[in-house]
Amino acid sequence: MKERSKEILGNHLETRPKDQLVQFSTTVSPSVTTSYEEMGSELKAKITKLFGRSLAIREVDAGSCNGCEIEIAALNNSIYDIERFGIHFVSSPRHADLLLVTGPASRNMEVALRRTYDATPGPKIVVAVGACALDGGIFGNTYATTGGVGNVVPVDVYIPGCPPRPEVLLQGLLLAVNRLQPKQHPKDLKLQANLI
Amino acid sequence: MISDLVLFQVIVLLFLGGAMLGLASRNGRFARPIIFIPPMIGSALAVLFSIDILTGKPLSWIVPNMVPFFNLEVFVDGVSAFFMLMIGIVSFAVSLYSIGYSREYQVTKRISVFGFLFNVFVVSMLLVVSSNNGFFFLVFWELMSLTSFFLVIYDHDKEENIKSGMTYLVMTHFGTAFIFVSFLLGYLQTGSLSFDSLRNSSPSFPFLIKNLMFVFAFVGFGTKAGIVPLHTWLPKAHPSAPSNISALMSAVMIKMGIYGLVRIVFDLAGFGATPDFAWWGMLMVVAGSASALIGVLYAIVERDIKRVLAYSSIENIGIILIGLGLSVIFASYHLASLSALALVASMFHTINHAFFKGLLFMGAGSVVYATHTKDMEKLGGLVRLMPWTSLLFLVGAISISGLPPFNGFVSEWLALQALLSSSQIPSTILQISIAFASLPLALTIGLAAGTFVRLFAMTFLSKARSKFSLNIREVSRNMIAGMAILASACALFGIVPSLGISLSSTAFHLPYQPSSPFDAVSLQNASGKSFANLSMPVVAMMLSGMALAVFGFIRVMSGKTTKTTYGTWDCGFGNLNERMEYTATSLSQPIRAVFKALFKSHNESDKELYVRTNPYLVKSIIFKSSTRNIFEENLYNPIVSSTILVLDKIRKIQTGKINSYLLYIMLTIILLLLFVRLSHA
Amino acid sequence: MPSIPDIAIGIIQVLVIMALAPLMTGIMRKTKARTQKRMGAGLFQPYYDIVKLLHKDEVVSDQSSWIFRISPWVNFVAIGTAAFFIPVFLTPSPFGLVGDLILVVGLFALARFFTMLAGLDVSSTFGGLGSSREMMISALLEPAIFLAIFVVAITYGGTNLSTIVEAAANSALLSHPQLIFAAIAVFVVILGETGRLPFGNHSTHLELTMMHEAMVLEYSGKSLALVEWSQSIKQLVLFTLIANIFVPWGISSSILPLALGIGLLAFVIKVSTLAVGVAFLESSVAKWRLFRLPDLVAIAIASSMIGLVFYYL
Repeated sequence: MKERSKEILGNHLETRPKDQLVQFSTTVSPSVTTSYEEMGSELKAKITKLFGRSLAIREVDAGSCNGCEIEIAALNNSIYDIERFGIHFVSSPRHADLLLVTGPASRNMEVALRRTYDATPGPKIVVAVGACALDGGIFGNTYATTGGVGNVVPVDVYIPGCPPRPEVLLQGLLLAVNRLQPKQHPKDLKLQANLI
Repeated sequence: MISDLVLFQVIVLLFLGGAMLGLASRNGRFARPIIFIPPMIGSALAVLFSIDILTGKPLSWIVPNMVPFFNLEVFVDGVSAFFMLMIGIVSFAVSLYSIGYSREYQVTKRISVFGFLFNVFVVSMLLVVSSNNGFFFLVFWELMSLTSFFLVIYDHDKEENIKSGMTYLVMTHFGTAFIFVSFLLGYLQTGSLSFDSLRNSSPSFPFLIKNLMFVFAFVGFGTKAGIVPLHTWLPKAHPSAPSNISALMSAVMIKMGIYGLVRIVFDLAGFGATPDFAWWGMLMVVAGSASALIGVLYAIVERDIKRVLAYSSIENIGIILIGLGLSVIFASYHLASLSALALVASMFHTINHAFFKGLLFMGAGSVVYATHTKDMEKLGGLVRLMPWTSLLFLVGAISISGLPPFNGFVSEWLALQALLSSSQIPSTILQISIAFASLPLALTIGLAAGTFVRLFAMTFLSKARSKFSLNIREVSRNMIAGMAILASACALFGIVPSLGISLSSTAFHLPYQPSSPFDAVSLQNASGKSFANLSMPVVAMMLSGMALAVFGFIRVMSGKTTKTTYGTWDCGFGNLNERMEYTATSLSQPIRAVFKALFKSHNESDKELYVRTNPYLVKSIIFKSSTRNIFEENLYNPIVSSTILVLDKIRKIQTGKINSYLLYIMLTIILLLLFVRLSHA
Repeated sequence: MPSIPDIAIGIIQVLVIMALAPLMTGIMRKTKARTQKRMGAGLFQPYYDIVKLLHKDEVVSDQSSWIFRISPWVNFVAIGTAAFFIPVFLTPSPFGLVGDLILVVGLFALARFFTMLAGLDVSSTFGGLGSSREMMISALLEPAIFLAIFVVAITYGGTNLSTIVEAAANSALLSHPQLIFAAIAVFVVILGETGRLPFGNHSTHLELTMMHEAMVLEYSGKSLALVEWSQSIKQLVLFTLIANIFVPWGISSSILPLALGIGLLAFVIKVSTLAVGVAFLESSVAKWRLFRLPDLVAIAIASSMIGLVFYYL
């Protein structure tokens, strides 16, 4: 098993211990202090700087129970309407800037997740959504899961919650965009990820 | 300067010399250059010769009583020179290509026979277009048919090739018989087989004779050209022949049918500019539309590369015929300039088709040479292994799909303009029916693009669909050079179409000359405004200017980015293999479904289950999909089977006993005596 | 030889088309969002998307060849060149001497040829699926396009677009009833060519329901920007065609600044109205089953045929 995961993941695990990842990654907690509108416009301003006011999201289900998916789908409805902030969902990681990953990254989805990450052109951001994506959640860290998205791909932002509310998702996206500096090269990004 | 006559004789002698050298040569190292260099020189001289004729005077040469009662009459006018030019250019490229290509056959077969047949085949075509006498025309025609027949069955180890050769032999003689009857009708009127006497006296023939001459010639030459439903030999013979021969057959030989038709219609059958003759044109338009549409529909579902090209030849012959038919219709209503437009469209497409079809068949030949398969379902990925072949093949594919800025676009543009001009014909029935005839032509153009996307993509792009790709190398330089000649001709005639347009109008003495190289075509409507203009050099300049501008703009606008290579997006599956790719059959499945009445496609699936009682656990599924050829099944098979049935009955008189034969002789004598007696009474 | 100002205005018209093309996509998206009671993205969102993509890296499939790489460029160049032949706000165009409506259709076909090849180049099943469907729809649309051109050409005396638009601008309202039938055909053709509903769904995420999107699934970064931009240019070119041939109101026939200004304004209003209309239509119909689409194309062909018979009888 270890050999196989090494083959698939390369040296990734060795260079980035899991605890460090969690420690330095930003965790979002549901906040009620800022209104949805304010958060949205702040996000819009950030995205303006970084992605020319346009952010394309590819949603990856890495073994989720689909609870998070329901909340993510709600982002597109007429109440939350994420499209007005210049954010839209796309159908191929080639078109995406941000990977929105749900689920505990089950063994069966491990390769798929890794390949999706590699198929996304840089600069790219990974946001892990839900308790399972954090550390395996209710599925735990068992033989069937890798125990969190962070063990498979470098995650920029974790959004906890089971499932997180759409507002929280939006705040998470905001944080994700906040972290990435303008004109950052994917190589630099990896380097930075390795350092922290 | 050498006179045209000497040049002509030198050309013929060069080819005959090449044929003799071919017979004399052994299978040595130098056999291939020895065999193919004389036809190369001969073809180059034929090009020079025809240019000389086109710019100068026609050549006329008569050898009295060459064969008892028949004079060898050679007459090379603009029309003949036009077709000679086409033969010359294509056979030059093909001869060059053959030096490399025939290496394949040197191992298993005697190359000498091949060389002999090749030379005789090319020279017989040159002689067909230059003979001015019905007898010699037919002799050379037959020589052309027979040599091409032997070349079709050159690869006679495969039984399939012998079969298609036989179909070809039967069909070509069927056609020759009709041509013969057409000439015979002329002979009965004039008492001479010379085209000159026919030319002089045919305007005064009875209308019925003219019509009959046309109909017989149409069927006869139409068989050679491959008009639906007389096309059945074409998709069999072309794939069976060695590819250089298919290139010659498809690019040039089937055009001999067009040549014959043009000769008969405009020159020999006494065509007069009265509306009575409009039905000739309408027949050609209808047959042309049917050929174009049916040809391309069969091409788009076929999986044998060379058979796709063969069906596409039927399609292009259809387009040529539509132009020719429109020209006849316009001429019969005294619309001289429109008739010229349609004829130029038709002839320009003829020469264009010669170029790109020759190129594509040579490209297909290179693929077969390298991979030893003609089946698209097994090919793929050759673009990396054979970069030059694929580039040149792409040029051919774009040209034949009628896309700018290559030559196919210009001739199809002219044909469409000729169709649009049909509104000037003073007959409502014709106006509406020609307008509706544009429907199949437009559909054909759309489907042709799909056909060649499919052909190119399945052969050259993505992953190889079978495990052959280990030892594949690019073909030799002379093969690439042969293809490159025709590819550059395609590009040249596309970007500077005034060359080809003035060439065709000079050949037919049409008043249609582009005023400058930039002005390809300019048509005017009734109120004197521009009806349509096309200036391909400017279009080419605009395309390249646009390319530069966009490149610069993107360069300035985009940030510093990198390009990384990673696997194809497979939804993260990670194990995408060649069996999951789209195949030629699956790619054309929607087309098959839409036109299912024509294909009568038949699907069959066979499931193997782990447990017979459980239909959900499937071990393997075998899926078969086949299309049927309705012409073969509904037209030819009944004829063939009923002929065999009748002949079986007749065979019974061949008992093998001497007594019965003596009885037959006696009965015959009695019948003859009775006949003589009765006829004298 | 056309004068320099003529050529300059011709080039300005192309720049206007290229610059306004993403805006039309934005207007259509906005309209669709509003019909769904959403705010939707801003009108300029397509511009932001293109600029962002220009700054992104590219990931290219290891199975792809140079065909895949040049395809977006060929696409853009062919469609951009086609825009030269369309009168936008001024009828006399120097480029009318270079090419006509059939050349425009030919250039679009060239772009499509390369897109289909690119879809098949990467050995992805999605690309093959997209190319296969595109092949069928585009082939079936071809007769509809040509018959519509036929009706327009015989009515207005030419396939030269300047001639057509000039004649259209000078003719009285509804003096050519056959054009109504041609307009119906052209409208269906535009829906098919731009992959709008009921032919295809631009906002689909499900590969199985894709047509055009499936072929460009592999593109990223600059190439994707080119593909998207050329797609909107093609859409605007087709909108301009239908607007200026069938409703040539307000188009300028001289190069006086006031007339040009009115022409430009009229053009923007016409195409925006058309874009809103198409978006409304998209919001009200579902995607048709693939094998029902030939029926729709047949309606377009039949409509043009009726127009033809109308003209001749």
